Amino acid sequence: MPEVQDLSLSDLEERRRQILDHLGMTYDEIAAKAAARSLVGDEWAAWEALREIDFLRNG
Amino acid sequence: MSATPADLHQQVEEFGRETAGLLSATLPNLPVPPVRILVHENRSIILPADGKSLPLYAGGQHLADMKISIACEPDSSGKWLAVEESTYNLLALLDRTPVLRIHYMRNQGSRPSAHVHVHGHRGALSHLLSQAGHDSPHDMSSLHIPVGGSRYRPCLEDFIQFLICECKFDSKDGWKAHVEEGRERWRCRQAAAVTRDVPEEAARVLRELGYTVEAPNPVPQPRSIALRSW
Repeated sequence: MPEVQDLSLSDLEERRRQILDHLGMTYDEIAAKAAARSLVGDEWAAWEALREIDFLRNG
Repeated sequence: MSATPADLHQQVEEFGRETAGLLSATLPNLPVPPVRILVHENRSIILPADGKSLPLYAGGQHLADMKISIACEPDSSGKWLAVEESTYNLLALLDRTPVLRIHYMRNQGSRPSAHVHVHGHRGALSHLLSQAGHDSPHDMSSLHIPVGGSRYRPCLEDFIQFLICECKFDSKDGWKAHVEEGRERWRCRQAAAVTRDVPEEAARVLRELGYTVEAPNPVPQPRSIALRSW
């Protein structure tokens, strides 16, 4: 059975902050790189993780 | 009547179990369980267990990764879980970026809701896109290659069979039966959705087959948007 993690809004915001800190970018900066199709290396996974957080937050 | 949060959690847990069972039965050396589910209020996402990717092997060697992400929320009736977005990526280990992506977004706007991105290079394609005035003629991955729309899009089973049969990644004994069983389940669900889209057409076919089908009163209106959209 897969683990189910019920996340609060503050959990999601903390995850978002950690990803951006690790990247050393603002959300707008990585979003601009994604829009320009210039993501490299781990930025791909980070951008997808940020979009997943956005999806959950915007429910 | 809308489903309760508990009903929706039950549906996503069932979907997560199906996804985990399919992956575990088809691809070797995956974590156990291979996926986890993140939930916030009535939205959920099924992801690889580490949140990032799952390993793919060829001849026992870890050669690539796959990423799956299936984002769900209640459908417009509030009763059933609907996939809002799904991503099946084949990732190169070398630079940790996608080689191929099968992507679905339920409300995609002007682009095809179900599409494939190929991250490759072909001079002739760049040339013709450039001549045609495309914004990103040198980036093949900017093309959204349509693959069947919302109802007839590829399922995870198709992606797994593609990895095993076309890309030659290692598989587990008996993988094909699990893929075919899952695909049949998926296509039956999609057939049910199409029946709800065009009930009169479904009734007509059933009558041709000898069934007795009577229309309710009032007759439900067809919802052809999913069948008309690319």
